Amino acid sequence: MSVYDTEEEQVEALKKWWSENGRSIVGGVVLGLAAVFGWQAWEQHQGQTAADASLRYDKMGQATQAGNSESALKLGEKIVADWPDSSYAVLAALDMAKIKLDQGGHAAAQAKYEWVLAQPGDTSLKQVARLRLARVMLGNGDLDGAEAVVAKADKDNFAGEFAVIRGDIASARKDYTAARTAYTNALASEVGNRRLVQMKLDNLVVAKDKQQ
Amino acid sequence: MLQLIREKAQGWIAWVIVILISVPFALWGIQEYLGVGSAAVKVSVNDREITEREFDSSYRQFREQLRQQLGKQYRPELVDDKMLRKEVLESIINRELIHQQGVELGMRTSDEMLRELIKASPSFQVGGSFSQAAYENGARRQGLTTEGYEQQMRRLLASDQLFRAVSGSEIVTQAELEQGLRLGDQRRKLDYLIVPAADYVSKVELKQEEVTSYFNSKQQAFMSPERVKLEYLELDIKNIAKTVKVDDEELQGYYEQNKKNYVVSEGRRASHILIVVEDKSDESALAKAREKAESVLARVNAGEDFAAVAKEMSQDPGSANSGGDLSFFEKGIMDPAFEKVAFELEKGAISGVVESQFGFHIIKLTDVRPEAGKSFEQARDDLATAYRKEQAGRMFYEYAERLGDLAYEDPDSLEPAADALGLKINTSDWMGRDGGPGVLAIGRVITTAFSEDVLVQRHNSELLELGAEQVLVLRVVEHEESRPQSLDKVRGEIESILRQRGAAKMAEQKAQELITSMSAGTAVEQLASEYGAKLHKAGVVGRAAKEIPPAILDSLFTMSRPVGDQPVYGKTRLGNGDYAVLALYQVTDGSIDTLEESDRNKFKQSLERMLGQSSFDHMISNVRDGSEIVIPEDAKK
Repeated sequence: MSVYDTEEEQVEALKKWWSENGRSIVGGVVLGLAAVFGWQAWEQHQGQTAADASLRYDKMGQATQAGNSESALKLGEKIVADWPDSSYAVLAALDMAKIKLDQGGHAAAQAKYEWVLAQPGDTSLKQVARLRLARVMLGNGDLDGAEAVVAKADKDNFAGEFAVIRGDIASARKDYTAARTAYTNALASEVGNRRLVQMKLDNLVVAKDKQQ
Repeated sequence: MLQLIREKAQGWIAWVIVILISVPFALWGIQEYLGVGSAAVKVSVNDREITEREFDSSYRQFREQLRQQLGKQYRPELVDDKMLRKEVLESIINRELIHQQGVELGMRTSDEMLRELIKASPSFQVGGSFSQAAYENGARRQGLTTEGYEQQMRRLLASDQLFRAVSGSEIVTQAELEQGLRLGDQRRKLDYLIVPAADYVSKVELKQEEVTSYFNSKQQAFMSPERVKLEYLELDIKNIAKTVKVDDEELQGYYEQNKKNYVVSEGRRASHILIVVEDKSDESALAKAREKAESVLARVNAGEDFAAVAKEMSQDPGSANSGGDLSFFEKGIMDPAFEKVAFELEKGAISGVVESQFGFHIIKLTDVRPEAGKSFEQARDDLATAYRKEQAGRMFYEYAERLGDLAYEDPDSLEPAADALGLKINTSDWMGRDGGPGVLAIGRVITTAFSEDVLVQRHNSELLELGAEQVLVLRVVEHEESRPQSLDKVRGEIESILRQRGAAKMAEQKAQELITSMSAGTAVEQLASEYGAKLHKAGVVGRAAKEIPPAILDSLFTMSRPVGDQPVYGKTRLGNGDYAVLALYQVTDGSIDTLEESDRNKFKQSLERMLGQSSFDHMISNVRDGSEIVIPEDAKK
């Protein structure tokens, strides 16, 4: 370590230090700033992208509300095409499945749900899609297909709803014991249409006698 | 050492130290800007902390909403504050979870939607179109800048979008719709009869051991209720009025001030004919009008009907059509000149021409109503009552305050307050938590009587405001804990319970017998008449039938389906121990074909809404399960 005697020497030393290190310091600062601004720009871009998808999705909702199914479907397809990795694509697919189903297009609806299930993404949204897929299959009489879908369901807060479907499947197969177990399980957890599940369970008494 | 530092201070170590020191200086106070204060945290949901202040403001909003919804039925003492707080906390947590799920899913609110929504909000509009000033004002009223408001709306909109997406895309398949209707709209045909338990009560034989063993097993149920005896001072205007002293002089003054309440002064009824003079300074017009009035007077005096002439000639638009009638008036209402004449005329007489500020009148006095009412002496009692009441009303708040103060200053007795205010101490009978007669039935009085300070510390209660001009202070003078009662005291009660129980059992047996006979082929009608019960021919009913007791309906819809003509029989216990015997003849499933297209759609939509809501709820429950929700110890109040 050197000890400087005069100010001039100190200035000299500083200058020397700067000429040695100045470039890398400036470079470092520039790089740092670039990183900060770049990150911000990227975030903003991301936000803008999401906002664009959101707007398109709202427009799709408005079209559905107005009963304009065809334009809603078109908007939905565009969301899926333009932002395939976003949640809006999944939500749009769920909406499109509903529109298709209400038009009588079981297969098309199923395809939408299957697409959602093939995407990476939020498990709850997938559970929603899985549940609806199984119900569409069940409505179509595809008991095996529905059973296979339900078998892949996660064990979470949707469990009650899946139990209802298991009950429906068993009931359709005239396996009333299994149906009873399933409905009872369903009633022990949270289900949307509790009253109907209770009716289904009560109705099994009838079905049981019929079977005898 | 210092030398060393000085030497080293110029080397690279100095830089390191300077930088290390400068970091805290640079960041000092930054948390103020970032809003990471040390405010009390109510709950934290993952990384987001919700402060007590946020909670309190939500809580107030919620209460206000409740108040508006319930309107007049809102009674603060009926709202369980603890429950309400818990509910509000839950809803805040839920709202936060929904928001976080939206963020997790990368959901955003577009500027367009935000703008549209703000522009469409009626509270930001002036005369039907958006106003920037109204918007800024509105935001400020909520304690926000417009940026803050927009931030909040973005959150709301994103959450709302998520909800609409998940619940709005809910489906109901055709098969589900059909099944829902088949079951929900199912109808069943039945007869039923009741086997009343009361018929068997007297046939139940009770053994003493049964009573004893029941008593021993259920002692908890036979505790005497906790009760108190109260002393209380009630203060209302009536009480104070009794203590107000009156003397004649004051009463006389009061009489004069309020004379109109006691005396109706003389009234006179007159008709008139008016000849209007627009401008009194116009001599010729004045003279002309007087001439005209004189001629009218002449016609009336000549015997023409006053009313008819008034109708023809009077220029008073208010009375001309009714023959000039002005109805009754008292002194001080009419023009002075008019009044003077009107109060001098005899009934039925007609005046000369009278000049008033309006012009010229001819007046006919049609009726006189003499002064009526009570003299001071006659009104004396009424006066005293009214005077006392008025004085008492004036004194009430002062008295109430003194009552509160005195009861507080001497917390162990009500006597000082009673003496000072001339009140009588009331004593209650024993009273449980279900209250007593009169004011003791009021919820706040009961809660106060059983509150820690009053019951345990035996202090006077605070001043309870029961109504607009009614207050009360109470204290507990005797207290009895809930305690077990002796068998002899509750024997009657137990015997009655056991009899009821035995009777219900016998009714059930009878019901079973009836079912057995029915199944063996005896006609229901015949059995009913043999048994002496009324057969209720209920006919075909749906699940929501109002005319059937709910217990019977519940049982009916879980009964087996009859095969062929063979009815299915069943029995069910009603709430009072009676048994109902049911005969089910026929089950008709509901059908989608019976519904109109529009009703079908309504039904479908209601199912979709219900299922959609629960899909969303399940999703948020999932989010909740994956979240860390922490309520700090000191916030768990």
